[in-house]
Amino acid sequence: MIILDEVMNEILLKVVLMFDLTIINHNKAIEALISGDHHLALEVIESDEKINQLEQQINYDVMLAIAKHQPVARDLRYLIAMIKVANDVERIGDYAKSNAKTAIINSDRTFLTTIFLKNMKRMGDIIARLLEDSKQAFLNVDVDKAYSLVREDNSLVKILNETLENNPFEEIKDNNVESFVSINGVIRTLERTRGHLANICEATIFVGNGEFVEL
Amino acid sequence: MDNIFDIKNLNLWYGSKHALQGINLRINKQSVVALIGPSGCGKSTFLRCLNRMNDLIVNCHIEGSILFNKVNVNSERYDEINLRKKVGMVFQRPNPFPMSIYENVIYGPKCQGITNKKRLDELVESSLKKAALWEDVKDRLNSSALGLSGGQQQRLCIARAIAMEPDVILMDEPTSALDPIATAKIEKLIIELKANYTIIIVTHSMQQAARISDYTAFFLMGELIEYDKTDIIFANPKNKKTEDYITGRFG
Amino acid sequence: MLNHPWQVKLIKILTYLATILLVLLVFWMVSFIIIQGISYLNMTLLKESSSLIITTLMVVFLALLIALPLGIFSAIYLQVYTNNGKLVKMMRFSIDSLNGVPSIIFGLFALSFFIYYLGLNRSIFSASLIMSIVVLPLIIKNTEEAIKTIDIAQIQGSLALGASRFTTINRVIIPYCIDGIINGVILAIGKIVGETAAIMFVIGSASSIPKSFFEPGSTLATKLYLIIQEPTYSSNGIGSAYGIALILLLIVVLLNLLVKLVNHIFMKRRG
Repeated sequence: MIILDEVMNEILLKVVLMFDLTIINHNKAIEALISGDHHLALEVIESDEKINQLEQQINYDVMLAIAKHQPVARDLRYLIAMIKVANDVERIGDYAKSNAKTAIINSDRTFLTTIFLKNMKRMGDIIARLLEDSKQAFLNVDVDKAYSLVREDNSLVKILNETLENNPFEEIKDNNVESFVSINGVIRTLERTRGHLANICEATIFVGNGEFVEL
Repeated sequence: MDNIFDIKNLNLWYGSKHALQGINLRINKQSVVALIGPSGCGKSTFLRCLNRMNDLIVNCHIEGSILFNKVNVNSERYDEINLRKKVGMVFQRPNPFPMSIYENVIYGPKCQGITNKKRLDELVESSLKKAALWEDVKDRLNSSALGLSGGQQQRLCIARAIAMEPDVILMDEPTSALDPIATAKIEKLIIELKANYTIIIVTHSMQQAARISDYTAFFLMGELIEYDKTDIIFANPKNKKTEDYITGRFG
Repeated sequence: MLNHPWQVKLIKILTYLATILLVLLVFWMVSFIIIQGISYLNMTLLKESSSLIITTLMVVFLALLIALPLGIFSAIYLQVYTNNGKLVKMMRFSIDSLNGVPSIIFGLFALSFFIYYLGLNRSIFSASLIMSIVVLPLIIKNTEEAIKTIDIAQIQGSLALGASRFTTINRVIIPYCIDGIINGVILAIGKIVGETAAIMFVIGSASSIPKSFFEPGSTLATKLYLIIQEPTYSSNGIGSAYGIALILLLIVVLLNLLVKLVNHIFMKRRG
């Protein structure tokens, strides 16, 4: 163990914390959308601040580590990846926050179809699991795991497509336009979350064997 | 890309100590090659083989071929003095002669028999300019070289080597005795010199090797572990021992 | 150990006493010779001694002529050319042994080898031969020390610029160890001037200025020895002995001053 190892472990703890908080917020936001629980949604919005702070700290810590320890090879790749991953996780956190806001606006969701709600729950669960798995893969620099997560992503795509095919709403009313837009927003965040998860896996592979891949 | 040095199966013994084991290496023209490795790994010994300075050491036995421009220089029949005219060397501690700056620079050319004053003057000016020292000393060429600062003395030694119009300049930890500013100046100089010379530099600083070299060779206990483009060695080395050394996790 | 103040004081007193004793001894010895000899320091003595002085100088000259090139080149070889460990070891052993041989044994050797075996005449030439052997280790040692003061990096630097070993010796080594060589020369002269036992059996004796190197002669030291043995040998008897001793002493003092002067000059040049 050299000094740099301890420094990198400290930063990794923060990355892990970011992941955990984001997973919690993501789950709460989905739950709030389904159940209409205002309090849950507010919790998400509040705790997002902490996630943003963590990203800034990670950026700063990595910068100092590079300046002071002049890392090369894998150490350098890992530190750079920590910045990228923190950025991706922070975006996912932002999506959770925006979903929570949507949940508050659409507290009357009786007009949402059961199928839609069920699909949303399923997608939310898969994403939560993917987040947890990609966190582990990054922590352990498990390149094989990172590649395998891509396959799981495919099942997510299937559900996504199903959801998009069907009308989320029971009936069309006058005030539905606003809700329609915001519900679309939710689906879009889930899509984008997929993209960021792919980035995280790519970063893991980069750390592991120095290759840039597109997943 | 032309090879200026092609080393095949180089082995060296100091008495019974097998200091260099089966080294194979090709060096491209007009590139900067850094030799790195822990103390005693053989990098300086290897460097000295390239201009046959090891011939001076008692009980030193060398086997293998060192092809310089396709001619094997590691043989009794090849004149080592001839070799040193084309392969110059700069040492760790600046070692200017206790003569004037002018006399230092023309020492080598004079040994070769150049006596024409005009030619010597030109040589002095061009060598000192190439070594980024001309502006500092142009008004005091006849003053003693020992009056220069450490960094200037080292640049004088480089000018001295350049005056021989060599193809290759070997440098054995040229900045380890210098302060950071002098070091930075010489590093910049090395990058400029690359356009006209092949430079092979032994350095104990990982960062220096990373900053200035095109290729890096990692030596460990007399063996060449890895030799590749510097970018690859420092971003994604192929050998675990290389990675351990450059990240400081050695031993 | 030296914790008690009385111990410190005791040591201090002892060292003071030893120094004073030494100084007094030297002072007494020198002044004794001066007092005894000063009365004889006149033109007659100098005229008589002129042949002695010239003979001494001839021995010095010839001995150095042989020993200097031999010694300097040996020293250069030992320091610059050696790749062969065994030969170097052998040479060093020989040189060091030579250094420690008592001069009377040199005298015996000179007699046996040069006079009896080779059949040479007793002459200044024979004396110079043995003296060159006597001072050879001195020259070699001094030259080696002078060469050693040259930074090996200078030698490496010169060779790395494509200079041959010969050129390196000429341009880097010799100019910068001349002062060491001169030091060795002056020490050698001092030794030769004062040598008695090594040359007295092979130099013969003479009272007039020698016309060639192959004639016998007397140096200051050998004549002094002869007079002491046989005071009737000289016109003034034991008195001349003191006179000659005084001259010899003066020469030694002058040589020492010369050493200091030379060192001073070269120290200044080195900077």
